[in-house]
Amino acid sequence: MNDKMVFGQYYPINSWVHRLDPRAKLLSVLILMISVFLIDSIYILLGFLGILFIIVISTRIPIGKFINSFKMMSFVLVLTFIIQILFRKDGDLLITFNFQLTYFSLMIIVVTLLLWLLVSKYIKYFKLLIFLIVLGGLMALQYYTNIWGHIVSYHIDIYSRGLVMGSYVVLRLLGVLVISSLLTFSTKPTELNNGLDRLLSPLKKIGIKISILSMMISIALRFIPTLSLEADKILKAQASRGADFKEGSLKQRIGQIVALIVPMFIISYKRAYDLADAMEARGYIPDNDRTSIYVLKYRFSDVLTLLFDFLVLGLTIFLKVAYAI
Amino acid sequence: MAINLSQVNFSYEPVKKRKTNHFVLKDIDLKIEGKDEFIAIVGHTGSGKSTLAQILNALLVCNSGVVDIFGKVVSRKKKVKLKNIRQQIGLVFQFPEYQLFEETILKDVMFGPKNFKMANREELAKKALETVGISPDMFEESPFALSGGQMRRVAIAGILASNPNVLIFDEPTVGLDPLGKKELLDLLKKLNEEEHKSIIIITHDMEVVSSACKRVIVLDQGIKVFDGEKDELFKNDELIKAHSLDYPNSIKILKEIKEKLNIDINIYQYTIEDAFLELKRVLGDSHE
Repeated sequence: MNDKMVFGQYYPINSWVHRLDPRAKLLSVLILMISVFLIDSIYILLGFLGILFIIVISTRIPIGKFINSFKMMSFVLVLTFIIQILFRKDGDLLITFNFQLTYFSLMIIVVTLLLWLLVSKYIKYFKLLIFLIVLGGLMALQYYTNIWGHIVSYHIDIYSRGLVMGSYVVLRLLGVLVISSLLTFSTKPTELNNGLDRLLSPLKKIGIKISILSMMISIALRFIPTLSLEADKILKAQASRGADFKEGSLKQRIGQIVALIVPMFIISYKRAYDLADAMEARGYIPDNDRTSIYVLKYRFSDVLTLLFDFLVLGLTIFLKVAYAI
Repeated sequence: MAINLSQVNFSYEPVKKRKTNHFVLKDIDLKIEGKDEFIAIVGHTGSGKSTLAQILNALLVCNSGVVDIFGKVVSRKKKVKLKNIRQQIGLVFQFPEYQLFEETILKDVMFGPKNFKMANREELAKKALETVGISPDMFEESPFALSGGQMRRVAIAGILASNPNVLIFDEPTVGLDPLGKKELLDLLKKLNEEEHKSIIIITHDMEVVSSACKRVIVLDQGIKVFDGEKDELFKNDELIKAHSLDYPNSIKILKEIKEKLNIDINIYQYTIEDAFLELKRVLGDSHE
């Protein structure tokens, strides 16, 4: 169970991105994301992605990890691309496809979709790609055949703006994904929390207590592995009393889950009380100013990174203004 | 034979062909009878005691070797009905009081028999509660209103209610005061003697071993280094030293007395009463 429950996506190596101050990284992410959304030339966007790619390579985090995070988003990416192409109707008309829906093609479409429903759960790799190929095949069928009872004919127009905007959206989302993945791969949750705490600490002046919030986050992060271990123990203890969390009807399974949840609540409460006592015994007062064991310090590389970020942002704003004129 | 392990290996990491795994259990051979056994499994932290207990209850499945429990072979390849195994082998975890969850004590104890689809579950639960010494007027109370020691006894009753032939206790005496410890050991002895159940205790407390158990299994770094009568173990000074085990207090004291006073005394006494009688015998003889 613990093998599967690796919390967060942190990839433990010692690259220059890993060594950066978490504050610098958080600020960089913010600035670079703003830049991604400001860029409105596809070539500059490609260039930007190229720079990101070089940064990713230089960290030596395996590319496969990034591709994995794209996989989760691939459905959204493809969907937005298709929607952009279908519904954008300005710019030059590039090409028109005429489709004929006939009883023959309708029958084949229904059969294929039913087959897909049956087969899809056995496909493990490239599910989306295979689905798109099947879909393309069905469209081609409607494009080329016109036999057996014509029902309706329709056409899909592809405009140049649609294609461009579709690519924009996809490339921007890719950029955002790469930037945010780079942050989570290279920064531990605790570091992230510390950085956020220090970055937002000026908010104390207007009465928002960031230190309490960050203490809550760090305690929550700290207790995830502990509680998952406890859950594992309870799970085993109830299993040895014959509880079966995998089989049985839904009603039975809900009954069994209660046997897990109630003890977990009790353990969490007990731990929370113990921790609160321990913290008070060591003089914890929520509102007090306190120093941190992790002293964050900007180094030369952090300053350099931030300079680079501002350069990118400045350049994009300059190009945007220049283009607008 | 109720339980028959041969050449059992277990690792928590997934086994890869070229990687050398850290095996928590290595080539364990073990035979345990379905009744009248009273076994202690001792060893240091990380010696694989708890892992062995979970293998005996089919909560973990070994990487290689044969685990035969009441005629059912547990393996990764073929699925067997684990429920029967778990009904016949009760496992009481460390701090079992955390597994309580029902509204009333009786309902909680009935959880096991209900899962195993046993017919006379209420009778079984009441009998189990009686065995551990919970009075009938408490049956309808919430288990969370009990004291720590009572909660532990209710939790043990929850295992007893399924009427298993073999009972495994993982560190049953941890966190109990001396009186609670004695009561618990008396309960285990009663189960062993009156109901002829096989009891397996996992512990590193030599007092528990000496006062209750008959047979001792010593694990060190996942290897079974000793399996035999407790007399045999405590008389084997080299083995005890090699695996840095401890002697029970009665033996320690008698040994000291024997060396200081230089008298002929049988130091292998496992209870205070026996030690006292032996001392009385020897000293009484010499004074006469």
